[in-house]
Amino acid sequence: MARMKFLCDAERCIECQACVTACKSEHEVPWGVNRRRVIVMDDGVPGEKSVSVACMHCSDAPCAAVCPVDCFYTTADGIVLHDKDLCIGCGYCFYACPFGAPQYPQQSAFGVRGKMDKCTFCAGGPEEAHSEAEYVKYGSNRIAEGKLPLCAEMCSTKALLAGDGDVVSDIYRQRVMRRGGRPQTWGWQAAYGNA
Amino acid sequence: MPYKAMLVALAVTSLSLLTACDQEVVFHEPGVYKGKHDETATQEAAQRRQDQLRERAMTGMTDR
Repeated sequence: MARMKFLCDAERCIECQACVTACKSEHEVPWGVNRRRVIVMDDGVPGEKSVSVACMHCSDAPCAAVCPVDCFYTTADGIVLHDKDLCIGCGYCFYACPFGAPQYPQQSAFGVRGKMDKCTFCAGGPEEAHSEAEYVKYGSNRIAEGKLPLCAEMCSTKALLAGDGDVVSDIYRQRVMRRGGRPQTWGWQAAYGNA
Repeated sequence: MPYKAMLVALAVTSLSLLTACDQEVVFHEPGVYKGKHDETATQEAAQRRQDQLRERAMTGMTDR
């Protein structure tokens, strides 16, 4: 069985923000919510690196472990999704996530945050596939159409890889062998452990 | 006498309130997903799209 994973090749990411734009445009993500964002390390210093970060769809998802209403589930191919009808916007998942993936659309008095929103690996959510309800709550469902996440498919330098973990690691391994140096699988240890 | 009557009334009221406790109590198992069923999350759905997604990754993510 395939296991869906993200991998950002920091040697290739040019911080163009196309992945962020593609995600926001594809899913019509509301203002103030970024399901994906580009982090720059050592900004302005020679040798600076940037990586595109979103929900990594962890093997043992800490967000799911802390959710008091148990609104998270994992698909058979390893995509971590949640039911917005159950979410109470408590924010526990935000504190548990090592990648800062969970986002909240509101910031108002008494800490009301609204329903949590995060990357769905373009796999929609627990609504009928391609329905209006699914699109409004979770965005488009490209996975059901046999397509990979748009952020990765739009990446001009192919820095952001998405898909079956075996394929992704094969592609990355070939790159590292060709260009030399050490592999920098940013976030993989935290997200997937040694699996 | 009114005191006794009040005690009896209180006892009857308490008993009638406790009748709800007879019904079966639902215990939710912690850590188990409680939301709606997702048809595209099943083993069969994942198996169906597996080859298509793999092929797409091989053509879309590799260098030309």
